[in-house]
Amino acid sequence: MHANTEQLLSLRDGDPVSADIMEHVKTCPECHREIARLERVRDALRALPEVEPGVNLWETVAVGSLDRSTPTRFHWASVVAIAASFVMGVALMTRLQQSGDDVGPIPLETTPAATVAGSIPAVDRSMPALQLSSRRLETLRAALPRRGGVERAATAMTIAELEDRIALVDLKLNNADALGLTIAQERILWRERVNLMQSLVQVEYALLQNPGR
Amino acid sequence: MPGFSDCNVEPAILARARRGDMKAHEILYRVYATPVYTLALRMLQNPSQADDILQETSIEVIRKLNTLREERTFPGWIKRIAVNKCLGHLRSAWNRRSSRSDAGIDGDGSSSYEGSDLGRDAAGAEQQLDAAQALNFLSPTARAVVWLFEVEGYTHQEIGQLMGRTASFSKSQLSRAHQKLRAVLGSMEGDESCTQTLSSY
Repeated sequence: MHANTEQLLSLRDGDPVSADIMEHVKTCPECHREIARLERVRDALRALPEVEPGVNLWETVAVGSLDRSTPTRFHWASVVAIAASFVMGVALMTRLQQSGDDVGPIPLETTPAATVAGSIPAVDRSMPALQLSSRRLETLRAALPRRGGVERAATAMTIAELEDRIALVDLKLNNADALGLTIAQERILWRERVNLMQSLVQVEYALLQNPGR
Repeated sequence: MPGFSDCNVEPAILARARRGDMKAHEILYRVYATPVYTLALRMLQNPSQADDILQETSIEVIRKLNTLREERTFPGWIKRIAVNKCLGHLRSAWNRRSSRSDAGIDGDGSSSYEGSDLGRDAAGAEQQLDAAQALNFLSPTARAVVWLFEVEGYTHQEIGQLMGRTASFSKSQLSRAHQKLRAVLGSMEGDESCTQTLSSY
């Protein structure tokens, strides 16, 4: 009686089989041929070429990692920040709505974004203060009127780059524990986030002041 | 096929990636993307699912790289993540649809790939198939077992554990899968089939 496939695979791979099967295979050309065939199938599978991904998924991966680590920060400061920013946002919108031909571009250093960031005393660059500032800028940006019309490619790219850099900072902050970041490193990241958010709001604010920018 | 064994990266890159440096993560991605995609494509036979596996694996790498204790285990670590993702996809597919093709080979009953079924499938092919095409004739479970055992080097014990089954289950799956492959790859049996001496076994 011939060895079955499982026994032949065991023989092929050097695994033990019963003595009677071993004896049979030694003298059976058919079983021997079958083992050789099993070897060829294995070799053929191993020889299959690697397949490269059809598209570059890296950007999707980076975004996906952000999507799945939805920020859970800002809890304690949210209410205060939203309230403060709401007032500023309303003031900003009122000003924009009232702006006529007589109102020229506002210097960036006096924009709401600069005001929010500058509201933190120089001596108070603590993490909570930076988080509060960051949150205020987020809310302020959300309160800005939507941009209309066409903007210059360079401006669009600047905005996109700032958004990307903020996203990367967020990725690090959201994985701070996993990454083993120290408090000092986290504080640096928060400061970077505030600076980036400030730049972003300033660019978008300037764009509203001068749509052709 | 180089595969995961070539997924070695410089410790400095791993260290940077652990600190959240996304450029370093991108470098890692460039190293493991092709082996992961290949594994997923061979096991799942579906390019869009292979894309999903690569994306999910990459995200897990970003999130859990800090749990990797020894740098030299990086290739095996990546492979384990990717394999688990693939098996997870197979499990979810099983839940969505009770695949008729799985019924015979995944069940504990008799094999459905012996006898006339083999001949029918092989006749349907009507041409010589290569190994990649032949994998399509296997059920998802059998295909996974074949790939993990024959190519990736997992033992039956390990495959059984990965699938929540036993080593015997893996052996049985492999055996039946080879019976099926024998039919669809029939023309691979060439004249050189008996080149070794009988006493070698």
